[in-house]
Amino acid sequence: MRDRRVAFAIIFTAIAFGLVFMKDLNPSTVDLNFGIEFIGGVRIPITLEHSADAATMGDMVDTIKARVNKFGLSQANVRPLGDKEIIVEIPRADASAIKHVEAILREQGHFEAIIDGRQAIDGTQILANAVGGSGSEIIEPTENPLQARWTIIFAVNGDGQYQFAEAAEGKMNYPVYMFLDRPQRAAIIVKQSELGGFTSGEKVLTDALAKEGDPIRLYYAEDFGKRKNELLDANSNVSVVIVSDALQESDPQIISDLKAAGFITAAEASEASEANEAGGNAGSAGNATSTRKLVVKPESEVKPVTASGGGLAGTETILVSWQAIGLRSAPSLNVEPVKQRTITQYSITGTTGGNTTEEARKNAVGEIKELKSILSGGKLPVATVIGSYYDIAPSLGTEFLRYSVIGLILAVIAVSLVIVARYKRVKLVIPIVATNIAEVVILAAVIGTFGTIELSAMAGIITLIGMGVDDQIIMVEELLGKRSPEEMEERGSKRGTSERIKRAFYVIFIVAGVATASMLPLLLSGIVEVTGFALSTILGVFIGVFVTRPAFGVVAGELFKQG
Amino acid sequence: MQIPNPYESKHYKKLFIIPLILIAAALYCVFVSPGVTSGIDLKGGLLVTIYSDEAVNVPALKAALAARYPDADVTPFQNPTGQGAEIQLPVDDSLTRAEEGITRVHEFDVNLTRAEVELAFWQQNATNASAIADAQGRADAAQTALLAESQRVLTESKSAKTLPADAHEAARIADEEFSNAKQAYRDGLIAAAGSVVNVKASSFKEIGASLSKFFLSKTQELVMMAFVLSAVIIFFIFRSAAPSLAIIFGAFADITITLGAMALFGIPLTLASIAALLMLIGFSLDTDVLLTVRVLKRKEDTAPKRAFQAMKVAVMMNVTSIAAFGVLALVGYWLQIPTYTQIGLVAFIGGGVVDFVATWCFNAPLVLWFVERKEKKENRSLQ
Repeated sequence: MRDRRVAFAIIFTAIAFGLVFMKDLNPSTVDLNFGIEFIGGVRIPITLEHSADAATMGDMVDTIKARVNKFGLSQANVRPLGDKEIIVEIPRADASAIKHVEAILREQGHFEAIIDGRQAIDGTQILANAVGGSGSEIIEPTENPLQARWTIIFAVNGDGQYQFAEAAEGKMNYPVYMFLDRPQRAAIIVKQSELGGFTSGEKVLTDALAKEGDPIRLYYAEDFGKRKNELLDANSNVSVVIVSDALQESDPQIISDLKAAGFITAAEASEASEANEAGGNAGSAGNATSTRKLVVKPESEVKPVTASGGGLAGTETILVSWQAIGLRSAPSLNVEPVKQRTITQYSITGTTGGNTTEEARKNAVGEIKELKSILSGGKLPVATVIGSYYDIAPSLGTEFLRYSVIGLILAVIAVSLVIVARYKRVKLVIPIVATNIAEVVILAAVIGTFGTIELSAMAGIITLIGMGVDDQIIMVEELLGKRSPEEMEERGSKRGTSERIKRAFYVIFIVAGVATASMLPLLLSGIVEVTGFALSTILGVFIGVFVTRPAFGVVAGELFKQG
Repeated sequence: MQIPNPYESKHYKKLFIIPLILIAAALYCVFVSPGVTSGIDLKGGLLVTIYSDEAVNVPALKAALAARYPDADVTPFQNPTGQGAEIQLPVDDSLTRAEEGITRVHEFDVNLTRAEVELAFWQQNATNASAIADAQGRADAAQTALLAESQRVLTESKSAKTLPADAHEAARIADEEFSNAKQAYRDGLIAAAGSVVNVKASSFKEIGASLSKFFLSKTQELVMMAFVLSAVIIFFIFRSAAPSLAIIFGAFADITITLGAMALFGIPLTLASIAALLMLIGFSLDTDVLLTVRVLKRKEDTAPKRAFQAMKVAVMMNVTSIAAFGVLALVGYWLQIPTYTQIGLVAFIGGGVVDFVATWCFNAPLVLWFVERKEKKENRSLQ
């Protein structure tokens, strides 16, 4: 039984060493995750102008995360803090990152509503602060308890009203195709299978793609070979071609044709421009910013989504969403806008269903949120301010890391010296110091592999050196200490020693419990300046109690039995 | 070295006086003078640390900052790892007002849009003249309010731009100017420093008013929760009032006296130092529990002897802790890492020195007193 504990501890330590150095199979690099204080970067806390509930907060974090990734700041970490702050952390970024983040927060997509191929409303014509909001987002029950009716009200300005009225003239019951970031001068190539059996409904598709002066062209992968010249020709006036990742795999011929005609992905374009710059070809940098783009989207976005019961007769199937081209919704027109240049309000309604009334209601809330976002051009639901900012130069971070490790080693040495001075028996000092080092390595490995070693976590690790050894001392003192007359008889016997070790553990467990309790609130606070410290302290305590100290107890017990 | 066992003397209870005096002194230091300072985490502000290969000319740096950043506090440092200066600034008042103003601008923008929509609605119906007039009045008022607030933001942002008549456009410009002003404030600081010092590397920490308020209220919450949680666990383990209260009071004394020391030595209250203070709760427990368990649950020798023995063990534990925390504080000092210095110093003082006093001049006499009374009771009942 005893050997098992020592073996357990040794295996753990070995694994820890492995995680620290060998995770990438290169023993000369340390493979732990370090926070921005050690590798440089920026931390930007974004303050919301008013508190947001958990759902809204989650949405905002996801949106910001997606936008930050799109910007190329791919290692960014975005997380909420309380209900009024969102923290964006970008490792290795410099001060210009804050301008990027500001741009991201203001970012707005381009909304347009198209009726029968004619642009009815443009995003700029929608009054930004009058989309939804209190009194303009309504959910009502219907006769069917498993359904809910939702309504969202928005307003357009005078120009929007006029344009809407012109486009909507005589188009009652037509679908109003609402797009967010509809690609311009674009073509989409789809496989028959991706259209979900739509061959006869091609009109349904072209209706959705239509727009005066800039329809999106549709090509089928299966007969691309026959029609490709009209697309690839230099005068085709197509700047963007959209395909699915599945098509990229299944029809490499199409892709190579496209590439040969100059359609390249954004990644390839930036590589080319980097290569041009590196090769000193400043003159041909223009090629890299070619106006022909190839966009590859996930197959799920290239599949259009349809609904039935629409159209003029109320029985047709119409397209309601096609992510790949930005089509987000297609309510049918139920109003005759008047041709005048005044601000007018409109509402979009629909019904949602669910397995329970609650669920139907929840789905209705989701629909309203989605439409609100689309009509606002994807603007963030709560206004934000960047009030604070933290930035560390990478060279500084590396210095911090180097000296922190030196500090770790110094602390171990300092503590070892104290132990040697007191106990003087080398046989005793070695296990204590070894246990100490093992604890530190395991702690660093766990935090650095499954989390990040931030500044406060590092402080906690150094702290552990001083605190961890306390429990070893308690055990040793227990074993060295005086015994009562009854115990004198048991001295040297198996039971006596293990009894004393058990008693030492009693104290150790109690202290572990309280230490965890006092650090738990810090750990759960989400404030990164302290969670690292709390995590190292709590983990350190656990590693000690369950891994290293039992082993130490065994070893110490053996030593004392012999001596 | 043979130190006499103080617990064997009849007057051991007089040891109580020492921690009580220290607590009183600490409370004085905290509440009367010199008082505990708050770091920028809790009161907001800017902390720029610049590192250079040459010594920093402090008066020149102060002069360069004086124009735009009059409240700057410049502290040079020179360590084995490098030299440089720390520039600390309080939150800029006009920018804080501008930030509050921007929130109002956004609000008024929404109000104006609503008023415009409402006005359009009434105008289209054209039957209710008074309603139209009312709506017009509200729209005009909203317009004026928005323009005024936007102008206020512009003034606080020290922008020279003029606002257009369109209030919505004005709001947008105010937003832009505010962001530019904030950016200019940061850039200006680095530039001013750079004009006097050869900056090799720098770190920039800015905590705005709203974030610092959040930290302040959150830390108060955390401290209370940590205390309550620890107290619950202690009671749960010991199940009797006396030792539990003794331990809790020991932790409380620990923290209070350490706070006093922080006030005396100018160690600021920041997120890191508060975390270290909370750690003291668990930490002071190590020695307290050792004492309580040994004195109450053992039988060898006499209680005072056991207490003294426990104290010797505890001294060892304290010394090793002091060693490690001392190293942490030293590394923090050399590298100019306030987090390390604060945690290191707080734990050094609180976990090393103060804990020793609190445990052995307060908890020990208390526990021994408890044992004495119990023994007296048992003796009486035997008769």
